[in-house]
Amino acid sequence: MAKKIVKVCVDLDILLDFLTGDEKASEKIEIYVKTKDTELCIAATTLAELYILTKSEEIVEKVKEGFIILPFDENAAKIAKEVYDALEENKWLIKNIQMSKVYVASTCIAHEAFLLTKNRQYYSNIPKLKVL
Amino acid sequence: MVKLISLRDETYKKLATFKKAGNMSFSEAIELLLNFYKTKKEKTSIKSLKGIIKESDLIKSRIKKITNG
Repeated sequence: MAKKIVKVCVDLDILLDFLTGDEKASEKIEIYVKTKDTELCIAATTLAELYILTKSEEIVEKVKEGFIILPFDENAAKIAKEVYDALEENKWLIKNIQMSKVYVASTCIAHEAFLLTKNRQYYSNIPKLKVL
Repeated sequence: MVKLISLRDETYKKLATFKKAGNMSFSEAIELLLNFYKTKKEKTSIKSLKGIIKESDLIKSRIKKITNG
């Protein structure tokens, strides 16, 4: 039987650190570059943030070539409600978390991807989300 | 839907051995090989992205709003 490919979705914090040359972020990403049967991905919403943050579209185009883009599709949209409901149980989380993180978490759950992030405090209480 | 493809004898033997070893169908074996190639290509290209963004490439006024919380 064919081996299952493990998807690792890189959150904006680690992605930005890596793209700006940070060694720690690079080491983390290198682990998954070297790991067999893994695909490094980013959420489409993270891609949107990257477009917003950078002056050059050319840079984002290069990033698109390297990472698989996980779309925020109908399934992810539906899951976003479950994610938001779960976050609402924690007053601090729901007050401080940005919607972009809800979309990233929903995208990961929808595509069965692990999330690689520095912001574990925001994501750790989300059911079904696998955080690295 | 199925499609017929032709392979050289030698290629067929290699593919058949590979598929048998992984207990796969021919379609699964080909997909696995294609995925492996795609993943390898992407991973190679990811390494080259390290440090691609300089500080001057970022719109500083937007960083806090986008990355906080």
